[in-house]
Amino acid sequence: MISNRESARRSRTRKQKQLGDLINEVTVLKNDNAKITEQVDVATRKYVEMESRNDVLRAQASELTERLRSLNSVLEMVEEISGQALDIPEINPWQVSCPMQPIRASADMFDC
Amino acid sequence: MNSIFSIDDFSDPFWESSPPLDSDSAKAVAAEEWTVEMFLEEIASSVSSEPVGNSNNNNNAIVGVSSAQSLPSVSGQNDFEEDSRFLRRDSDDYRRVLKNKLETECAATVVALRAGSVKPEDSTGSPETLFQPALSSPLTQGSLVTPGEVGVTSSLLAEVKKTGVPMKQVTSGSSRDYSDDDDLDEENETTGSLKPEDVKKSRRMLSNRESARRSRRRKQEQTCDLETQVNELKGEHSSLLKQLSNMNHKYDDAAVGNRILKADIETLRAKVKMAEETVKRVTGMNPMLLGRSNGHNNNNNNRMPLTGNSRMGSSCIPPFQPLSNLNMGGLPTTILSPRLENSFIPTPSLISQTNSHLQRIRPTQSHHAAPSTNPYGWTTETQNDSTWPKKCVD
Repeated sequence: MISNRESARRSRTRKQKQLGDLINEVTVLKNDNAKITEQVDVATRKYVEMESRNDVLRAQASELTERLRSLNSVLEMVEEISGQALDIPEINPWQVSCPMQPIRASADMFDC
Repeated sequence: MNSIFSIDDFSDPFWESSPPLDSDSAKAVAAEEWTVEMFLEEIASSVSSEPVGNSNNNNNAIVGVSSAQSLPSVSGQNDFEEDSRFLRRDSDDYRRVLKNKLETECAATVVALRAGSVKPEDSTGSPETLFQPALSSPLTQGSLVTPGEVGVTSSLLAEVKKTGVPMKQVTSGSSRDYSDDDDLDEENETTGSLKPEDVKKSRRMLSNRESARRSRRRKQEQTCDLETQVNELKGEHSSLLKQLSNMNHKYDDAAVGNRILKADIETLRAKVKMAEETVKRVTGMNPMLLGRSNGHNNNNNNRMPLTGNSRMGSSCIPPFQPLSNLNMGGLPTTILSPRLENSFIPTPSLISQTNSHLQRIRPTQSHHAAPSTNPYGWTTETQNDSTWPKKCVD
């Protein structure tokens, strides 16, 4: 039978250990949280940068579309006038009535 | 000399002798200590049995004792503050306060009774006043005496009884000579040399107990705070992880969109070039000069898609000749003349290469109904192949 003193001593050490564990856990969690916050910041910056590049590309794409539209209108006029069928490139080939393939965006889409 | 007699030896005669004293003051003193002892014994009995009702009464009694004493208590002002604080907290604290009060008041009572400073009128009044607060205070608290504090109370009772023993001695000694104050003082000095020490000791012990309690409570609060902090941090951790994965997904989506946009731009550029080629061919005018985009056109003036013309042959040109008169962009017609003549001006420019590439592209595009790399499902006009020969034939 464990004496009362022994049991008391054990309880004390156990309590102290628990307290130490709690403090350690707090420290570890704080460090982890700081690290993750940093990662989130990095990821956010990358995302923002990519988005800005996307915006630039979108502007380019719209400019090109506009140009193509004007050219096509010219060609259509010519076609009307001349009566000859011209090869007028479509502006939005991805908006077709009967799509051959469903549009699926994937990271390795253009890797042939 | 006080320690010679054990508590048991004195308890019975102590209880039984309500005062074999002559003077009123002695009677009052003994009566007072008798009532105190009576309450203490009730507490002791309740400690052993622990029924709710008894302990309630005892606590009432304690309250009564402490409130009835007109003597200065150890904690003094602190008691009121503690009371108000403890009433707000749980009843455990309040019980502790009551016990503290009891202890301090008992110690103080010991002091007072020894000194005989309790006036007769006060002491006669006190037994009655002892009971009145007891009746009024049942509403203030109604808590059990816990085993943990039972030990404290028993030790306190033992202590008080010990102090009561010498007190009895002193009073019994002084009762005979009570009229003589000097003798009383002498008695107090010889036997009362312990009095201030004892009082100091008991007060010190009480304050130590209190400080121990405070530090235990503080430690408990710290542990509680740490646990709360841990939980908070865990929540923060999980939400941050979600944020991170969210942001990574957004980035991935943006990257994919980026690639798509780049591909779109490439195809658009190709188409624009196609269209420009066609316009140039068809109208004989620089398509860049048509419309608004005149910024970077001047270098294109000499780029004539003559390689394309070479494929078609000169026979295709004449049908479009009338168009040469169209002056859409306000161009001087002199530019057209080289075209009409169908002179072959080899221009080692990228355009020609691109054109040939485009020439190749168009037919191939029409052959591929569903190119695997083309997610847009380009449908090139099936007239492509037919128009070419048609044009050539004409």
